[in-house]
Amino acid sequence: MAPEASLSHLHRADGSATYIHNGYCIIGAVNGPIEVMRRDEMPEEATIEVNVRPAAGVGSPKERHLETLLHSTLRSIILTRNIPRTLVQITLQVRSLPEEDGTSGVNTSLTLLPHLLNTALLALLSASIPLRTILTSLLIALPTPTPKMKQPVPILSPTSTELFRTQPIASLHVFAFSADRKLLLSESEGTFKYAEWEEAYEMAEEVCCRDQGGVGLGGGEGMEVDGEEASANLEEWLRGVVRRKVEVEQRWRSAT
Amino acid sequence: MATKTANAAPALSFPRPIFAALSPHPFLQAHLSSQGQAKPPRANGRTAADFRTPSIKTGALTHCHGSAVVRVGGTSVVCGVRGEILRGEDVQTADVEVSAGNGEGDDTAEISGLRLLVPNVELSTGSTPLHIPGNAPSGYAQTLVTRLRSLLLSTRLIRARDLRILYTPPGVADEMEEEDSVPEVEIKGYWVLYIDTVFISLDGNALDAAWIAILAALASTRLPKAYFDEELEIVVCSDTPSEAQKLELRGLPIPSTFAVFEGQFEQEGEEYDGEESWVLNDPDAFEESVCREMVCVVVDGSEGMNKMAVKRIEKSGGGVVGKDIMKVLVKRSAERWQIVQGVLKEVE
Amino acid sequence: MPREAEISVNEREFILKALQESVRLDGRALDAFRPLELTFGDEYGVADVKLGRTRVIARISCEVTAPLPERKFDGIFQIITEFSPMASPAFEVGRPTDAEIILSRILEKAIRRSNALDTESLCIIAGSKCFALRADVHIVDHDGGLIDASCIAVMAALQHFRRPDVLVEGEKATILSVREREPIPLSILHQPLCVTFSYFEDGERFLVDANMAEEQVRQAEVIITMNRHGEVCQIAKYGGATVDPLALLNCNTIALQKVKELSKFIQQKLEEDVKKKDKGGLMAELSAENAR
Repeated sequence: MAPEASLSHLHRADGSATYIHNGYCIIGAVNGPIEVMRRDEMPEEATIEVNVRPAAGVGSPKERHLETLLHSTLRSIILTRNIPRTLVQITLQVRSLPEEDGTSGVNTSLTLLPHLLNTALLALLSASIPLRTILTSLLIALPTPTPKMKQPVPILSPTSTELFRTQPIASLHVFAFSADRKLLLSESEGTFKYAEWEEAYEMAEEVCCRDQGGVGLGGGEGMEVDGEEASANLEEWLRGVVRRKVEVEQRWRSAT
Repeated sequence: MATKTANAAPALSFPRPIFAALSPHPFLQAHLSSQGQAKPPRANGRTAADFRTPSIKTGALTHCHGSAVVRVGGTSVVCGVRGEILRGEDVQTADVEVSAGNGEGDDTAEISGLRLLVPNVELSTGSTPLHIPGNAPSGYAQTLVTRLRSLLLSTRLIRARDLRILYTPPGVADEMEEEDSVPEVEIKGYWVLYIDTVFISLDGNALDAAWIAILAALASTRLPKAYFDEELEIVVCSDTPSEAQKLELRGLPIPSTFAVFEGQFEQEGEEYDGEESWVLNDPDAFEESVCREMVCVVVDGSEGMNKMAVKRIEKSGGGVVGKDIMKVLVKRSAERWQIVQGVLKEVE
Repeated sequence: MPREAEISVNEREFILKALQESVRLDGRALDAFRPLELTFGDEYGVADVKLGRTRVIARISCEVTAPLPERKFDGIFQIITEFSPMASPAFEVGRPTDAEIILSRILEKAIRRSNALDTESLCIIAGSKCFALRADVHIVDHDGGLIDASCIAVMAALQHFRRPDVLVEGEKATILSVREREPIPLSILHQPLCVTFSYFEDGERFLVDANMAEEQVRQAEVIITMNRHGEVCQIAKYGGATVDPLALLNCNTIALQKVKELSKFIQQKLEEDVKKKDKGGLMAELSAENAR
C-alpha cells in the first residue's frame, strides 16, 4: 500500500501536508522562516521548533521524545545556516491512528515515528524551506523465530493488524535515509543481533532509496503512468508527490 | 594538555578555557586532529574510544527499598526505588488481561498496562548550567524519562511475578485440590515501583549513568513480604527484614552512548569528505554541546559473551554512522558491557 | 513570537466601505454562513468540519476512571481546546491567547453546562467507576468563525461517538470491547449550536459568520447558543460597541433559523454516515454467514 499524501492544503500555514498510510493520518504544517523569540535566537543558524500533538489528550513525555528525535533529524537536513536568526516551526497533528494501535503490544512511538518523519518532510517541501537533502523513513518488524520458521521474514512497513497477528515481535526497527543513502536515523528495540540489524538496514535502504544507477529521467517517467509503481520505492513515491504538486502549480505556464 | 594546545598556535593564542568557550568546535577539532600521535586525546584527556568507568555505591538512601549512587566522571546520579501497593480493587480490569499464572510468558502488557514501573528524572538545581531551576520538567528530562521507561519495558527487566501480591483462599484451595488440583489464586494487589533518579551533577551521557544507577538500585531492592490478611481484608506488609524478597532481574542490558563529531567545513555548500569525523565514546557535557549526531547502543551479554544480544539502537542527528561504523560501535558496546558488568558484580 | 499579521488600513477601509453598501468581499449575503462541510472518520467520534477556509477537527475519546468524590453519580466530561501553531504562528504552545480562553469558555457554557450530554448515563458503578469522556478540539486552519465551527464539530462528534458497553455484576464491572459487543451511542439531551454575530458601524449593522478579515475589523461580537427548539443556552458579548437590546431579539430569530438549518445538516450527514457504515457491517456479516 502506497502512502497517500496531499500538499499545501491549509491556508494559514506556509507549508502543509497530510499523509495517510496504514491507518495513520497525520497533518503537518510548517511556518518559516519567521521571527524567532529572543531567547531562542541563534546568531548563525535558524532555530527549529517541532510540535507533535497526539490525537487525543495533551502532549506527554512520549511526544517530547518524538519531538527531540524529529528535531535532531530535521536539523541535519535543513540548511539552517542559510536562514540565520529565524524560526522554522513544524507542527504535526496526529489525526487518526489505526484501531489496533494500542493493542499490538509494541512501542507505539516507534510505529508512529516514520509517519511523522515523512509528514514533516512533505510539509517542509511544501513550505519551500531550503533543504540539504530529502529523507524517507520506514518501519521494519522482525518476528520471533518459531520452530516452524527458523528464519522469520522481516515485515516491511507492517500494518498494525499485521503486528497484532505476528506476535510476539522480536524486534522493531525504524530507519530514515537521506537521498545520498546515508543513515539519518535508526531506532531499534527488542532483542536482535547485529547481523539482523544489518539485514533490516539493507532491506530498508532498498525501499527508501532509489537505484543509484537509474538517476536519469528514465526511472521517473515510468512512474507517472500510475501510482502503484511508485509504491515499491519510497523515494520514487516522494518524487512523484512533489512532481504532481509542481505540475498543478505550473499548469497555467505549461498550458501556454 | 595545555602545552599541546599552545604548540598548535604558538604566538597569538588564547588561554585554553577561553579558546574552548569562544570557539568550541575548532577547539575540539584541533585536539582530535593534532598530528604526531597515534591516538590523539580529546579535550578531556581521554582518547576517542575511552569510556569513563563508573563507580557505584548501593544502599545509600535509608527510606527506599533500594537505592544506588553512581558516578561516571563528572556525572553523579542518585537513584531510589520505592515500592507502593496498588490495591486489587483499584485495578481497572478493562485495561489489561490479568492472569495469576507463574509463567515466564510475556508480561510486558501487564506491567505497562497497569503502570507498575514509574521512572522519573529530576535535574537538581546546579547540576548543569543549562537547566534553569524552578521550571517545569524540561524537554531534556522528559525525553530521558521516556527513553528510560521504554528501555525498562522493552528489555523486560522486571518480572511481573515479583510484583504480584497473591492470595490463596484456604477453604477453596482444599476443595479445588480434589477436583483438578489447581488452587484458585487471586491477585490482591501489585507492587508499583517508583524509580526516581536525581542528577546531582550532569557532565554528559545522562542516559548511561541513570540506567546504571537504576540497574544497581533495582538489584539491591528488597521488597517486604506483602500478604492479604483475611480478618482485616487488606494487604499488609511483614515487618521482618529476613522475609523481604529480592527482585529477579531478567538479563543485564547496558547502554553505551557515542557522540559523532563532524569536522567543520569552511563553507556551507562545500560537502565535507566524510573522513573528518570522529566517534567519541561516552561524551561529556562539552562534547555533547558540540556534537549533533548521537548513537546509543544497548547490549546484553548475560547469556554469554558470544551470545551478545543487542537490545536497542538509537541514532539520530546526522548521517555519519552507517552500517560499518555501527558494527564497530556494537563491538565497543560489548567491551563496555564487560567492564560495567564487572563493576556491578563487585557491588552486589 | 510573531504576532498575528494586522490587517492593512486600506483593506480595513475597503471592507467597511463595502459593508456600508451591504456587500461582503466574498459575495455572501449578510446573514449567510460560509459553505459547511462535515465529514466523519472511520473511527467513531471524529468529526472534521470545514467552514469556508476554517477547519476544525473534534475527537471524542473515553476511558474508565473513578468519578469525582463530590459527584458520585456523574461521569466526567471535559472539552479541551488547545491552539497549535498550525492554525497561526501567533499561537504558542502552552500559552493560551485570549481567543483560546474565550473559545474554551463558550464551549464550556454552551455544551457542558447546558447539559447537552447526559453525564449521569456515563456512570457505571456509583462512587467507584465511570466513563471519563474528553473532547479534543484541534484547530487545523483558522479563517475566523472558530467558535461556530468548533461547536458544530464537538456536537457532531458527540453524536457520532459510540462508547463500549459494560456488563455490571454486583460490584464488578466488565468493559466489553468492540469485538465482543456493539458499542452504544451517548445519550445526548439536546443539540446546542453557536451563531456569532459581528457588529459594525457602532452596532448598526451585523454579519453572521465573519471570516478572519471581517473579525479583525468588527467592533463587537455577540455569540448566541441555542438548540433547534429555540431554547437559548448562552449569550455572550465581550465588550466592544454597544448593541441595542431589541436588536438582540432579532439576532435570536436569525440564530434560531440558522441553528435549525445546521441541525438538519448535521443530522443528514450523520444518517449518511450510518448508512455507509451499516452497509459495510451488513455485508461483512452476510459474508461471514456464507463462509459457514
